[in-house]
Amino acid sequence: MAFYISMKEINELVQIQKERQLATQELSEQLGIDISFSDEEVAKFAQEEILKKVNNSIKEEVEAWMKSVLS
Amino acid sequence: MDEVSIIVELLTGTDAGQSSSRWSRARDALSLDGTIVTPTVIDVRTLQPNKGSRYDMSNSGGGATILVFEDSQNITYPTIHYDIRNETYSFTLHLRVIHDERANNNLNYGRDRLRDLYAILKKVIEDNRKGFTASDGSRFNQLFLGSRTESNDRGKKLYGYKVSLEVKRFGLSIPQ
Repeated sequence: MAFYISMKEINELVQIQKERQLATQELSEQLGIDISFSDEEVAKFAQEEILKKVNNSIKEEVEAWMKSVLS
Repeated sequence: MDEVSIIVELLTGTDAGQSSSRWSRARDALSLDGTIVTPTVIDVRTLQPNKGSRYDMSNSGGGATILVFEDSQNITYPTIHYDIRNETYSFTLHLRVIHDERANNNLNYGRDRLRDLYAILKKVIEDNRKGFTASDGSRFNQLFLGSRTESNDRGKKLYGYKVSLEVKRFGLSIPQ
């Protein structure tokens, strides 16, 4: 059994959250109120996404292993 | 209509034959404060000019916003001839409420409004869990709310929830 998540994938997930922060910053300027994501929120959201990806990868790996053992 | 726009319409629109919006009806059904008006629901990609104007928080969305992001889309072809398509979309909704001068010494103002905002959102989604058809005929067959996490910003006096939403379309035929 092997589990692997690459730095490229992690960087992509972080980048998505940074893009969203930029989008909310632009939006805040248009709206006149600051509803943009803080740096802490960006880090938190990225961590949640990474965790979700890790959980899914482990689940898939365990399911594949269980199928191979029980088949 | 694209998928994010359907979600925006679901949250802000009005059912045929009804005089008040889905949001207002859900709020009334939950017997919540009438000041929780339909929030500003924003498709982040929007270029609509009226969303770009400086607005008065007291009458536009009550200082509450819901940001809609599409996270992912997945397609499966479940039949032997691959002539039927099922689609699954994942969205993230960011509910943001400002604790401003309207709090009037009520320390729980922002928190209570966020709670009500989430309750109304949940009711609108759950009322349409078995399907929603947009004004142009675009349809989702299934809508389910997922996880909710807090995202507060003390510095800006912002209260927020990050909510995931999964929607599905089933049995879309592929023209031969």
